[in-house]
Amino acid sequence: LLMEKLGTASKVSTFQKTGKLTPEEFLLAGDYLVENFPTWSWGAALDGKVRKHLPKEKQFLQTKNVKCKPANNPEEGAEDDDGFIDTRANAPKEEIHDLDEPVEKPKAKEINDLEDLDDLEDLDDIDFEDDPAAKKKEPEPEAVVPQSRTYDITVTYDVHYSVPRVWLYGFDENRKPLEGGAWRQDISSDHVDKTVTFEAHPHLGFSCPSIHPCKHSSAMQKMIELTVGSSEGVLDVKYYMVIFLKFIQTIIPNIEYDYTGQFQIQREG
Amino acid sequence: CCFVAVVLCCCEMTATATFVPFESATDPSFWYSLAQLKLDKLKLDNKPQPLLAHYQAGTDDQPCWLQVSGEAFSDNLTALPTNGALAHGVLYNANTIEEFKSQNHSNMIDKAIRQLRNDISSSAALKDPSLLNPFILRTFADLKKYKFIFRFAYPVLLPHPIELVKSQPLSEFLSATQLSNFPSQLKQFRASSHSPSAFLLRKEPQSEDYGLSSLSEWPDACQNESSLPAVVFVDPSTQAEPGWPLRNLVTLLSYHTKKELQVNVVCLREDKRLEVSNSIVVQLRIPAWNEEDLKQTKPVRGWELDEKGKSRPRMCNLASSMDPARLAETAV
Repeated sequence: LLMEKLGTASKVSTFQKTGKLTPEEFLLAGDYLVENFPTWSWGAALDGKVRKHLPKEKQFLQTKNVKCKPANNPEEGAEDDDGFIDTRANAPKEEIHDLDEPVEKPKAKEINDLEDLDDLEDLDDIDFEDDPAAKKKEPEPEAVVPQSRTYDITVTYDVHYSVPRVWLYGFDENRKPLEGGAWRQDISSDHVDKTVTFEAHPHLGFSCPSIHPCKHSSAMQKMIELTVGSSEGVLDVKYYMVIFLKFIQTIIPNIEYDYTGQFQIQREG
Repeated sequence: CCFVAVVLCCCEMTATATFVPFESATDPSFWYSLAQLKLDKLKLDNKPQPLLAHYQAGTDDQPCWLQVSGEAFSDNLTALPTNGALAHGVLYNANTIEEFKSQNHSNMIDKAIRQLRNDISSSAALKDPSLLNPFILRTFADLKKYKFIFRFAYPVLLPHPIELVKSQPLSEFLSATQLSNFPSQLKQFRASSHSPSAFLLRKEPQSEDYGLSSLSEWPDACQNESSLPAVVFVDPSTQAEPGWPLRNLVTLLSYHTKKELQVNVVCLREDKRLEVSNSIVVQLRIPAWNEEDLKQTKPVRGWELDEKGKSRPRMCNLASSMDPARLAETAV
């Protein structure tokens, strides 16, 4: 019965030797992360996208609004794509600019829609601006550091590779979803379309960049070995996710989520 | 007398409390849920639909966000963060852009305000303060292009300009011991209470200790001026001014006090470690308010401005993450 509940996922604990996790271990390590790093929380899947190897209210881990340092060399990323971004008819080219300099966005075909919206301007609704108790947004000061993009990060359990899998959803400075291939600027060219690919999220209905999990177990096995220090050392599986996020940070150094702080791994044995 | 003067000479001389408006933050999974709801259930039905959102105690330099997730159409948010509070909304989804343009705004606001008045006078909002956070979402979902046009409103009832007497950090308001006990008290209270978006910080009798208790104790507690509790609310603002949820809360407090009131409000803000040291305490002087005031007061409709500060709808384009045709092109 238990096996049925778990679907095809393995329940034998081998994480220290193989770097792989069972769903129960994913839960333990996730609970520890959420308990100690309040920017992380469990997430629920959308209707019809619940995987039965994990409880309904704990389908994946998430952290929102993670600031992303502007990439230093977006051009390089674009070149590395074999012209992939630019050849697509609907790739928004205006997205590909140097993030260090705020630039006026050239008018694209989207503008028609915005003009439509302008027509909707509601002359009747003066309450908000005339409301003395509503704090007005200060006009953007000029020549300051541009506000950064943010990412929502989710970590799902990958049944095939028995490891956590990371998904990144990017937003611009106004929390509008990034369009086209704009996310590529935030990922190093070594990883774009190789380690980091654009795929359908298992629980949330959209597609977004994801870090492919095929090398995770071997990398984690090495990370755990380094953490434990000797071959006899035993690591509590609850620390797995913290170590995992530390490893993932090396792939996406610009997106600075919370995985450390005042935290020390207690070694056992 | 002093207060009357304030009201008469308007806000120039004394500090009038101002509040930081909510800013909507919709998850892409919310738009996906809306698209599914429309395709599978609503189809051409444009009847209002209830939905849930949440906000969190203000952290770092994050905007005063009202967050709407893919769970918005369920009965409760299983993924509500520890320091989160609920907001109750109504969705008005139009079938065409023309219908969106001609939606009757006043009706939407009237309905929300009528409900708010009821929840305040019936004391329902004392038991469940999340009822003080109504919002309206008008949408048009272009499911062919995966574009969503939308506009939020956060209506409030507020009697008169509220006088801000002073503002101080929480660390000046509480003693060092009280302050160090606060996070564990808060953790306990949150664990035992359903969606505590606002509650009371009451001094224990014959002691320097504070305890947290339900907002429903307010009508009794506010009668004894010598031991007036402080009111705590989850404050999504990180600026010098408190956030939007305090406005309807002030109205509720005023209505159930039935006389002029000077009260300390703890604007609960938390950092990434759920430490409360960024919290502030504002002392407000609130005029007396009665049944008649509640009926007569003109509401603030609170339609959200767009990114450029203009009074118009916003648009979210999800073609590159939801359109199967676009995704096929992108697949590697």
